[in-house]
Amino acid sequence: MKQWLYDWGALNVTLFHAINAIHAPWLDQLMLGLTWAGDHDRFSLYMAVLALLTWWRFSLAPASPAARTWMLAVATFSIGYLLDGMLVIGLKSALDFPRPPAVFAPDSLVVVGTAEFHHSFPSGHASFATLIAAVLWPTAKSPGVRIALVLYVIGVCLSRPYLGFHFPADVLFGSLTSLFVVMAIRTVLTRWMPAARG
Amino acid sequence: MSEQHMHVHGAHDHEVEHQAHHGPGLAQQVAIFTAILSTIGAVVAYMGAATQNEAMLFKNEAVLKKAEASDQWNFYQSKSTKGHLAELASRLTKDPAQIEFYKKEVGRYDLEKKELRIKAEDLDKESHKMNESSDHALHPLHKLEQALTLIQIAIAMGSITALTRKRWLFITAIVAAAGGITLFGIALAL
Repeated sequence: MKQWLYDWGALNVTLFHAINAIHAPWLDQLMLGLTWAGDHDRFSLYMAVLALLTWWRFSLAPASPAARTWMLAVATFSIGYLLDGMLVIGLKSALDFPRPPAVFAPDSLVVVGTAEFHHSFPSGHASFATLIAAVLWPTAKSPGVRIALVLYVIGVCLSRPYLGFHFPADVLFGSLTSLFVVMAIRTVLTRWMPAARG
Repeated sequence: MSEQHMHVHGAHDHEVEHQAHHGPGLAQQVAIFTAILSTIGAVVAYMGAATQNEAMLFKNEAVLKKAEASDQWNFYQSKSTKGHLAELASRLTKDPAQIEFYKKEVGRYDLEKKELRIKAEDLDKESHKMNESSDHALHPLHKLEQALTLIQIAIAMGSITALTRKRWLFITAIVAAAGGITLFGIALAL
């Protein structure tokens, strides 16, 4: 089972090496920045910005569907952060998959920062970045913002194998857990809370 | 053909009327409430990280002091062995000058041992103190984590309030926020 879902017939490891082998000083800084931006410790910062944007939207047009969409985003983000956090921590503890430095010899990979060895699956960074993008997606009407959100998620997801902290499968499943959580919350909120319907 | 305008009370009109009665006030209050709580949450999270770092620094210092103490105890052990050998040598020799020399050596080693023992014990005490400081620095962490969880719950409850428009939910959010802020205050006092 794990062989197909996680190892992908050795493609997971091959992809990891392909991403981790590319290194340049400026790229290291960029990837560290992306990892910083995808760290769940940024929750309060993003939530404060989101709440202020929502307040601003309500002050512009209180009864507009757009304002409701922003409030729905605030609700989805706050509930999603709690649920996604529990899901990711639960999976990490239950499965305890090894991280790349625990699998490969030190000279066969590049780790930028302090190496970690446990709880690889799923990636919390990928999960958090996807949570933000999925939450903001309905509020983003312009293609430019949507492209920026997609690039943000891809960037954070790439930064994890690049820095030597995760395998691509960790990152992919991390993203999928968040997508699942956001879709479930939105379904519940829009179905059972009429005010959430745009 | 006369035009008959029939007013359909649509969802949007209903919403506008609803907002007129209940006002966008609640939603805006919730948004501001969320923004303020997020800011407090950021401070709590920062304090939690700083607490952990501080505890880690104290722990590192404790380990260093313990290693230094261990060095001193090793010196002490070596002086002790040399002292015993000198004492043995003084008993094995018949030459009074040699006996005198070895006895002096035993006295010297005893003196050096005393100094080393004081140094090692002082370092052990310092290490113990640093360990206590590390434990003390970690005391507020548990409270800070609880505070952050309550604040996050308050944010979630607040946003649900805006969607359900049930004021009692907002009150529970405020209670959760108050609990979080109180725990934060307790953590600061620890």
